[in-house]
Order: sequence, then C-alpha cells, then structure tokens
Amino acid sequence: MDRRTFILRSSGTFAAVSTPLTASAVVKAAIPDSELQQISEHHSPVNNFKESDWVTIATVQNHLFPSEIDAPGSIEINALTYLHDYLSNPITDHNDIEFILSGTRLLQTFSKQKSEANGALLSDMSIEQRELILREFEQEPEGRRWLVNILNYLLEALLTDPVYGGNPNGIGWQWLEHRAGEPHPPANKRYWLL
Amino acid sequence: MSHDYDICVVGSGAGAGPIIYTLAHAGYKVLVLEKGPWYTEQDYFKDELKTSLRGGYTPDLREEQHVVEIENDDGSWRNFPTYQSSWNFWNGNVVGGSSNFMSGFFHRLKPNDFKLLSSYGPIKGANIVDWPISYDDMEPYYDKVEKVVGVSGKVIKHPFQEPRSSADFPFPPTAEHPIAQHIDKACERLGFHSMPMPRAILSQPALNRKPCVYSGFCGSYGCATGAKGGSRAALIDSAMTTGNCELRPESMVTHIHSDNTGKVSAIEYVDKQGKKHAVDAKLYVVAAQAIETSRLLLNSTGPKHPDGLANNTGQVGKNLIFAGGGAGSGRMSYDKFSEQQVNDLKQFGTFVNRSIQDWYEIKDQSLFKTEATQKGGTIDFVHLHPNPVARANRQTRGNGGLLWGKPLKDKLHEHFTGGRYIKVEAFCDWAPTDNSHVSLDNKVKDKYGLPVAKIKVDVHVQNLKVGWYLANKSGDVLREMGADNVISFASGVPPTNLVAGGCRFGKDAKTSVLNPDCQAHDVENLYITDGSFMPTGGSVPHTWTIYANSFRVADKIVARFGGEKQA
Repeated sequence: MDRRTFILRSSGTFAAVSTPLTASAVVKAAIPDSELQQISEHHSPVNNFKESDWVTIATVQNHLFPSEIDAPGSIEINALTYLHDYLSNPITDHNDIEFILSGTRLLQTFSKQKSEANGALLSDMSIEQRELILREFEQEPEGRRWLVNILNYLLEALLTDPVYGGNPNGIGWQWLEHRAGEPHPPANKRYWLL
Repeated sequence: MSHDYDICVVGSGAGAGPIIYTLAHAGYKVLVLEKGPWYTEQDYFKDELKTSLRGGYTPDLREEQHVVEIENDDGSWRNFPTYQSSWNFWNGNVVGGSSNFMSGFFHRLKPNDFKLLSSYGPIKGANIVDWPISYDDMEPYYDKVEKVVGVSGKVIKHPFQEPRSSADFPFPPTAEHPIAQHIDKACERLGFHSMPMPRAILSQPALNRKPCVYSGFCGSYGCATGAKGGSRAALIDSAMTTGNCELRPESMVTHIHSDNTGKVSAIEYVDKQGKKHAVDAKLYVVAAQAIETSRLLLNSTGPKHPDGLANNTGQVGKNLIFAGGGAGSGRMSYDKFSEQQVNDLKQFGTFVNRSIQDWYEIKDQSLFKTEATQKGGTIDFVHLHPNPVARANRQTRGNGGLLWGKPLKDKLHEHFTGGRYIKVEAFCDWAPTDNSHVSLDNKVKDKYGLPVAKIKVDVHVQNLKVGWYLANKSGDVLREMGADNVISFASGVPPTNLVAGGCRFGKDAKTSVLNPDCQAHDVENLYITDGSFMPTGGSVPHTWTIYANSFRVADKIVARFGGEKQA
C-alpha cells in the first residue's frame, strides 16, 4: 500500500486520488467543506500540523490498533478523522493540541535517531522495527504520555457515539457486543453545542 | 420595607429543591439563582463524551477550579490546583445540580447516626458529635421524600431496618437484573441478609413524570424520561407551575452583602453576559453544594462579618466530610454458567438493586482491638459502570507497559464479551477532623476574580479500618456468587461527588455555624440547606438526608412566614 492510499484509508475514505496529498487534502477527504470552513474561521492551532505529522499519527494509530479480518482497526473506526476533528474543535484546550503535535515531532526525531537505516521514517519501517521504536519511545516519560493519549483517542473513536465521527455505524459497539444507551446525542446537541 | 422576593435561593440541587418546592406551593415569591444552564429531559443523552470525558456539565477547570491539599507519606502536606491534576470537585452545574446525575441509591440514616458520639463514643483525633435533632424529627421528612420526590423499593425485615411511619415504599421496586438472584442465594448460604435497594427512580408513571425505561446508563447521566428524582424533575418543575417561582440560570452568585446589623442585605450575581446584578429578599437560603457554600460565605465579608459571612466563631468550612468506604468487583465469567444463566447475565438495562446492612454496627475484636461496638456501614451491589471508553482504557495497562496491537484487542474482546462484571460500593462514616476543611486560596482565582476554595483532605484511620471490613465482607459475597477476578479494598481517596459538612448545625454557636433549624447563628435571615449542615454523614450516600432536611427547614421557614398563604 503506498503512502497516499494509506493516508486516505486512515482518513476513512477508500476512493483513489491521483494527485499528491497534503495534510489538508487528507482532511478534505474525510471532513465536509462546511466544517472545514468552521475550522479556518477559528484559526485552530491544528493548522500547525504538517502532512508528515498526520502521516506519523496515522502510522502509529494503525500500529496500535491494526485492522483484522474479523475486528475493526484504526482505519475502519475512522481514528484519524476522529482525532483531527477533536483537535480542530474550537473548544479543545490548546494545550491538548500542542501536546499531540509536540509528541508527534518528538517521535519523528526519536525514530530517525534510533532507526538502523539512519533517518528512516516511521511509516517506512517494518512492523517489527516500528514496534521496537515505539517500545523505546514508551520508556521516555513524554513518549509514554503521548502514547497513552493516542491510545485514548483510538478508543474514543472505537466506542463513542458515531455522531462524533468515529465508530461508523456502531462498528466498535458491534465488535465488543456493547449495547449503547438511548437516546443517542443528535448532531445539533453534541457536547460543545449544548 | 419592601423586598424583591420573599426568599432568594442560591443553588437548585437537592438542598435547594425542597425549599423552592415548598415555599412556592405555600404561596411565597421565590427567586432561584443557579450557576449552570437550564437543561430538561430533551437535553440529556447517553453521551459518554459529554457526560464523563469532556466535563460537559461542569465548569471548565481552566476558568474555575479548586486547590486540593493532601498529606504526604512523611506527614507533610502538599497542595495543587485541580486543573493540573485528575481531580475535579464540580459535580453538575445545571438546574437541579448534581442530583441530575446521581444513581439514586437511597438509604435513610439510622437512629444512631443522629447520636454517633453517645452511641459509640469518641474516636481519637475525630470531631464526632451528636446531631441537635433526632431520627424522630427527621422521619416525617424521609417519608415525605419517598412520596414527593418518588422513591421505589420494598421494605423487608433485616437487622438494621430503621423505624418507618409508612409500611412500605409508595412505588414498587424498579426492574431487577437476574444477577440479583445470584446475590440473594450467595447471601442466604453465607447467613447474610441481602435487601432490595431503594432507588429515587420511578418504576411506574407517577407525579406527572414518566417511569424508567432502563437505558442501562443511569449514574453520571441526566435522565431523559424524568424518572430519576433529581431536584429539577421532581421539585422545581412543579414549583414553576405555581407562578410563584422565578429561576435565573447561568447566574453566578459572587457576594452576599450584609449590613451593619449583620443581616444579609442583598445578593450580588453575574449573568451569562458578565453583567452584575443585585437582588434582595426577606430571607436567603444558600445551597450551592458543601464546598462552594463555604467558599461563598468566606468570600462574603461584611461590616459584622470580617472573616466571612456567618463565620464569627471561625467554623465556616470546618469539618468537611465525604463518604468513606471501599469498593470491589468480580466477574461472572460466562464459561462457568449454563446457557440460560449466561443469557440472563447478558440482560442489559435493569438494575442490580441489592444492599447489605448486616454490618451497620460491627463487633470484631480481631480488627478493632476493643469490645466496644463500632459504627460500620452499607454495602451496595451495582453493575460495573457501562461507559465503554472508560472500561476500554483500563485494559491498556499491561504488566510490562502499555498494551497495544493484537494483545490489546484480544483483551478488549475478552473484557467486553467474556463475562458480566458486578461491582460493590461500601459506605461508612468519614470521620471529621481538624484537617478536613475548606478555606480560601488567595493565590488561585477563578474567572470572576474570586479566590477559589482550597480543600484540605484528611483521612482518619477509622475510615480505612471500617472500609476494609466492609470490603472484605463484600469480597466474600462475590466469591460465593461464583465470581472470579474478585478484588475488594478500602479507599482513602475522597469521593468528590459525595461531600458534606463545612457548616455544621448544632446548639452551640462556638462549635457550629447553624442552629438546629439550619439558620445561621449570627445571621438572622440566612439559612443553609445543602449537605453543609451535616456534622457526620452516616454510612450511606447523603442525598436522601439532604432532601429530607431541606423539607424540614422549609416547614420552619413557612412557619416563620406565618404559614401557607391563602389563595
């Protein structure tokens, strides 16, 4: 799977795209234009993320929560879209956004330094190499905190209401035989709108 | 002198609702100032993000927080603002307060809870006292709560059944999950007395409210049907129909002004737009939840109250208490039960509704090293909270580090699909001490520029001893049920949703803030009716007692006004 396809699948969109993708293109593939407008109006610090940052995050998400034949992975639960939407929300604490970005950049530097082929990207490594790097990264206090957060947002994408962009059609609930409560939150009463 | 209102109430939770309901129905003009928004059933959804993960019903800690002071292992103390921690002492800033989000485990206090000192003697290092009123004084109001707020349950004989004026609850128990039968059988084999847990949840349509629909998401969640007896659904909605009640949501009270005689002269508040207002009334009631009530009084200095309103003997904020106790859990693994039993265990939505109060008093020399009877507590059995993200997150902690990849996914699948979890909550008294109190932190201020509350938390060893005793008993029951992965433990961590004290009532103004009617000793027109009044908390959740006491004080206020107004 090439990088572009991988990014698109990570954003939950499976259509082929023939032009090189920027981070904003990844977002565009997954988020309606109307919401993109809202993001730009609020000048969210999420705009400081580069395409390479999203690639790193998507790579880690897929490693931490891989797709299986009989179980959804980060791609099927729209994990990248979910995280992007959360970080783009105007009410999200800027400290949270900056924490995710600084951890991503730290991991990029860390993985380049630690990789056998000096300077390799995390996304270019084998699963075994990636596991080694992430386990070493976990030993760093900052690295562990970042991984805990990435795991948390993965599980949110897996198990929160589909109205928030993850867990499409309740795929996570079905996999874990979880019965969600009713009434579900409608789009106009998501937590930041009430 | 004319006043804007007969009575002005700060807050709208369990301590405020009965005042609002009673006074409005008695014909008096009531103004309610509530810090949070006015949500109704149409605004409550089963949304874990809003309810539990994003603090959707509590203030943003960046703008409004607390400072916590706790003891280090070496006996020194450290403090930290809650924004920089995982602690959060806010519980529900909406109309109806935190009663919207309670589980509604409703237990009365026992007669001896009203005379803890004379019944069980002093505890070294704890400020145990008798209440200035008896169980007999409160009983009619416990009964009133059953009928007006709506409590469902079934009275059965057990060793610590408290005296009742009504033979049984006005509403039958809510539907029970089959796991309750496992608890009953285990208790029978062990010689324990399991009992149906009363719930402040309507099991049938009544009181102009719909019944429970068993969504499976109750505690921590607002009720979408109105079945839960929160203050807004059960009392304030009714008060509004009288035409005598005005409620101003998103109104943060910042100062209670007092005059040269020491009486309250006006209440100052800030609305959603940041505009300041002042109102006056004949009488004032503060019920802003224990911590915030003490903070508001301490911030409200005046000519006769240089150290804070009603604080001329330095008692405001003292003897803060929580609910002490422990917890436990076990799993009914499906591979140990028949197909029919597994299908039963997989039922979703209905309640466990079982309690044990066999150890409300404990005689056990091996643990307590004395022949004297100790005050014990209550064990409640509940489902593991169904919030899936919280449950899933707990599975990411492995022995050698974080769990991820296939091992995490396998563990998640096993956790969610391999068995039914049962949880235990044990409640005992939280011994009040000199080191548990609320003061003002003059370094940390909120968005209104006011010093935030500094909460000093002290854990008395007696809490832990009793907590361990109850936790061990609950573990015995879980194992007898056939549960595996059983854990049970006492906890010294204060439950931030079960707080009381800070403005004790009592007969002596030197050792209490309020008189037996919950009127401030040194502020003639001020009453406090949230959990602040409690000198000791009993060995149960506080809410039923807070409701009952507020109805009791409401009757005192109506009598002071000259009785119900004629229509």
